[in-house]
Amino acid sequence: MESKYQRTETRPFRARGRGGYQRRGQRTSEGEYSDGKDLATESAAPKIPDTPTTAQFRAIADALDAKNDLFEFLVKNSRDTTIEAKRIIFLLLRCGGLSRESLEVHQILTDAKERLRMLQNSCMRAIAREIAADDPNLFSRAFSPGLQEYVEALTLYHFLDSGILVGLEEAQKDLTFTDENAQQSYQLPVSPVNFLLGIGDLTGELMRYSITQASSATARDAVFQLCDFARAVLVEYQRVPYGIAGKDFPIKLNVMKQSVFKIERVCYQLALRQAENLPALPAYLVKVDSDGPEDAADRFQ
Amino acid sequence: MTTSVPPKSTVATVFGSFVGQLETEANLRDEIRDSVKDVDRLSRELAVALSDIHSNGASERLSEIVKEANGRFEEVRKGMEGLIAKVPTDQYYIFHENWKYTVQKLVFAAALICYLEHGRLASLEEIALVIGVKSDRKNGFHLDLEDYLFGLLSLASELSRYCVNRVTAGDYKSPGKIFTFLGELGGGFRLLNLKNSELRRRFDALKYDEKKVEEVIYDLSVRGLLVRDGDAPKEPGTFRVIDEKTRLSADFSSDSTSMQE
Repeated sequence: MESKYQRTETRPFRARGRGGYQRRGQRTSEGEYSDGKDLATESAAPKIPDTPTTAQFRAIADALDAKNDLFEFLVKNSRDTTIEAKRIIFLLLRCGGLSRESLEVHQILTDAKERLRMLQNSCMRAIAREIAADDPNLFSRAFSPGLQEYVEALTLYHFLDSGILVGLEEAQKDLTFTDENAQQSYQLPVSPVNFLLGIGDLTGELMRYSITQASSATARDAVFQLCDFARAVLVEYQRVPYGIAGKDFPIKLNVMKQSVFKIERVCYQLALRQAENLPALPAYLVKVDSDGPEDAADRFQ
Repeated sequence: MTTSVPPKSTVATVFGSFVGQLETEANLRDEIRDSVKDVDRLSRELAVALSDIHSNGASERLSEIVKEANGRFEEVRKGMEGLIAKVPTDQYYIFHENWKYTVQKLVFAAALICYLEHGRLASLEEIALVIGVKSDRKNGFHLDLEDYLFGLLSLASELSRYCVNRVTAGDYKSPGKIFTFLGELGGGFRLLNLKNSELRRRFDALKYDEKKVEEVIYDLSVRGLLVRDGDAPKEPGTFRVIDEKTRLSADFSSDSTSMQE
């Protein structure tokens, strides 16, 4: 696990050394990257006579290249963030079917926490450092997918760890970095929209988790609590002003509803089965003070 | 999951912490949309006013048309001022898509005016000044580089149409100038490394604009109507009869190579 992540961590920096980013534009003043650009301009020079228009376009070309290079750099890192976040989610989903108190779950959660921390310090730190020097809003399209996937992994981790939804401020705290030597602080801004879209995917993961959980004899009661949590998230999601996150939002909301319906279906089957098999109300059903199992309990009484 | 905190309340707290911020942003977006609507109306009127250049008697009224269009820009600048006041300085790119198409139309109009007046390409700085925005991102509400380029590509399409209509109106001098201008513009665009984006797709249309103008030049030169700088004006509608010897001479073949390019 450790070595796999190392590979992900080095990827953006290898890509950066190879070419694209930091080769053109204002960063050429550093000297070492300028060779590629000089070649490009020299080969183009003899073909087109330098009129004022051409000179103007040369400056535009430099500005565009600098922007595109930075954009690509961010996309690459965002992609790496997505990959690692997805792996962390899969790791966390292995908690499914295990008892909350078991040693395996403890081990998985510890691993996930460490990997999240490493993810923050590699790709996400690189993104934060680059956009701090520029306008984060201009490049939000480049790094949003990775950030959303990360929010999904982070919220899933915190839910499994302590049963709560992690707050936006707390998530932001993890993504605020300080450079040791420069004493400068910069952050990868977690916008409400990105946070919201990340949470939107969380219910899908919870649904997957709940189904494995339901098939395990030891962990069944947790499904009812999980259903309660997912339903609360859905309710809050419906309160969000509509159309705020562009066209993604209604689609996410729909998928989320489907996921919650699936979890409710699982709860329904569990409750029915429990009603069938046991003559008395199981003790753990009484403990749960939530909507779903209560319905089942009412019917049973 | 065996926690004492009821999960429902934590979820509500977390959402509550940022939903207000989202609502503020949504309201601001609505306000910005209203401002943009005003400017967009002005930009459409401006385009209508400028489309008068295609009419047959435009050459006499050209300075009038340009003057009127220039006058309209005063209103545009006022409208832009209202928009700029609403956009927080560090949030330009959050709302950029709300006004980018409008700004592109304005860039087009300003660039067209500059071409009609001076026969040259307007720089980003000049156009920013005409529209009433900053040219540098550091100074606040600015003209985005790609919006400028989109405007120039619209200018190319408009000029290819203008070129055709100039010929219809009996003006054989403008096509040559437009041809040179578009050639330079095309050469400039080919210096850019465009990504596979909307801008690149729009740029792909530029070659057809160039081709259209080349065809006009061809049509004029085979009829001997092409007037180049320094040439004596020829009687319109008269064919130049060319014998084999003249056709192969250096003077004429330079004409024909230019159209084959």
